[in-house]
Amino acid sequence: MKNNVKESNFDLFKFLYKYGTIIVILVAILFFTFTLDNFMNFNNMTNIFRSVSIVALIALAITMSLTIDGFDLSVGAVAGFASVIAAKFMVVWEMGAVPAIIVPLIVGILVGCINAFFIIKMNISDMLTTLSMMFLLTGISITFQSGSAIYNFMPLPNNAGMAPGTMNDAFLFIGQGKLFGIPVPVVIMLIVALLAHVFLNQTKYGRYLYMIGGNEEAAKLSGIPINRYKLIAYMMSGFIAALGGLVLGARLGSGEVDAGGPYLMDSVAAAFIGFSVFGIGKANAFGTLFGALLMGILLNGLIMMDFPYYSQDIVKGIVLILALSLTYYKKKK
Amino acid sequence: MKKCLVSVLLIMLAVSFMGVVSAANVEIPENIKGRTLRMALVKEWGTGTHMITHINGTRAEAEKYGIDLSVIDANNNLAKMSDAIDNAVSNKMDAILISHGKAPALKDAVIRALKAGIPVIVFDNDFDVPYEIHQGKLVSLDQYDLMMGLLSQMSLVQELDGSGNVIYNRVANVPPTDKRHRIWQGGILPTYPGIKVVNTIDQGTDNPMPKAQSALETLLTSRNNIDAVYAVWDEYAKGFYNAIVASGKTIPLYSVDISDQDLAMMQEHPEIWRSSAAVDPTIVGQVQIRLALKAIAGEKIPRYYSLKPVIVHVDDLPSKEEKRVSMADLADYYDGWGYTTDFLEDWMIALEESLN
Repeated sequence: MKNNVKESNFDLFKFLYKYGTIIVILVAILFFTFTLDNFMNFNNMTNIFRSVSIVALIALAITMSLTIDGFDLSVGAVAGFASVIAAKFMVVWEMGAVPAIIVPLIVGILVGCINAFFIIKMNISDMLTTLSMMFLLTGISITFQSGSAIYNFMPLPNNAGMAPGTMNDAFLFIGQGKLFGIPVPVVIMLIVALLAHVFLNQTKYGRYLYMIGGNEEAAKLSGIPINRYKLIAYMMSGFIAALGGLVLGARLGSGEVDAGGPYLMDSVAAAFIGFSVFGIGKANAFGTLFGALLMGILLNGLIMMDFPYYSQDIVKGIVLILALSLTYYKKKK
Repeated sequence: MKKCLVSVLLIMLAVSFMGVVSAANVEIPENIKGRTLRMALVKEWGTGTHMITHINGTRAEAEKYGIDLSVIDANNNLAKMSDAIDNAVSNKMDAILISHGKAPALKDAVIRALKAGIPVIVFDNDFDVPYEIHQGKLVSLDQYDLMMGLLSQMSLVQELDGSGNVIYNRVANVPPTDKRHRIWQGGILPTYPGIKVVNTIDQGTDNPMPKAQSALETLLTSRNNIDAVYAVWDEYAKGFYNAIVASGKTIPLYSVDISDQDLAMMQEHPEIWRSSAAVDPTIVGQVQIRLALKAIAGEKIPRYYSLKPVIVHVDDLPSKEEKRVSMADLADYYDGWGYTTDFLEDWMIALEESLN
């Protein structure tokens, strides 16, 4: 009898471990569908996907660093900086959409390289390196824009007249356009998530990244050039974060001050909730996507129900700690 | 008759001439004459067009009187703000100007400053300090938030003909937005029962524009009966504007505060962003500096002062094809914009002239 009870308890946990996060998502969807008239319809669903696209992209950037058991705190700042560079290129320097897209992406990759240099060569912990980078980039981007937002028809400092350029329509399409009725940010998010998933699970590189994350010493002994793979992880993190920043800038239609900052914590949460999805227990692309969606659904429903922002934070905190409990309790076993 | 007129004109000319002469001969107060005054401007945050305009206005006014002004941006960190005030006290600054912040976190530091005899000119915040401590050297300035609330909310009521479904924006626990909300809660809603609040958006003060945009997008995709959107703060209004434009609907937006960026948006879609009640942040800086000077000179200054707001309505402005309007241009359309003579004394003009 005793044995039986133990057995069934264990099963329940195993089930929760695997499907707990999915169940929470389903319960949330059911609850909002029955309590809110306008929750379950195509428009609102695309809206939820669109609203999580930036968080999801930045969270995917963090996921890349998490695979090697690293951590990238600079992603929010990279995203903010990318959006500011893009806006400055178009509005102040009158350049087209192409340089305004390519240069921020290159900057993102460069930031990843610099992060990796300090982490690998200088042996500074990942958290502290990227924390310094976060401060540095936030400061630089505010200086770069003289503390004020960059937007169409802005008056230039020192009475230099009006800004000559405008945010390019092709650029704005990244954030505001639609492809076959689906918002472009959603398309970008899904493509990046899919590519990241394939990269991490179907290629040699991905498996090496996970091996380094699982046991760095063992990976080293088996002949994997761990420094090179760490560099790859941080470069990809910077690249995806910059891409998220472009979507952000195109969605806002301007280069706002420190616009990337608030996305950092939500993205960290999404990436860690992702650990628990399907009981994978490590950073993974689809898990991160589900983590971001879960928070997006909760936020969407709570906004419709008129909850103020601090109650949304309470819900986020509870969901995160539950997801983490599932992941780490299992690991302890 | 003609002669009479000429003589009157002559007398007027003479009087005005004497005025100029006497301005030059006005005695500059002893505490100020020949000194380079040092002041600190401590801001809760120093980013965003509105705050930049405030800083620039304060700097320009300080420069006129040869004041050495240091600007400290606490970057939303109240502890840092409090430290900055303490630093200003230990550096024996002649005056401390504060913008925003939360009273409980700063009160002790402000009391230390006042006890050291340093005047404290506060914008958009207030400290409950007894007269024995502040000795008449504490001023709480505001942009007349009660009046700005009323002006912006009445603009909404008038254009909706007194009835409609409104998405309301409430930023709780911030002194200026709390004042604006009091008018809505206690004045507008009971007076115009046709105005119905269908949703309230509050996303806090930390970088609200993207959050406001997502929140309103959510509500606009799920509701079809919205007649107007009210933003209690223009940082929200910018996000709301983007959401309304993206939705393809024409829903009028009313707000408080204004910046160059807001004006560009207003002119882009005049059918959406209708009006915003505002005080020129440049004037806030001018008045803060002048009140500090008066306090140093030992003149009497008020404990509370409200700057006069203006309702900037898009119908008063030229179309975007005619002219793109900036904050500085608003002086052409509204009285009391760009420059004020509030607390401007003859000796300040003399001081300014003596430095040139």
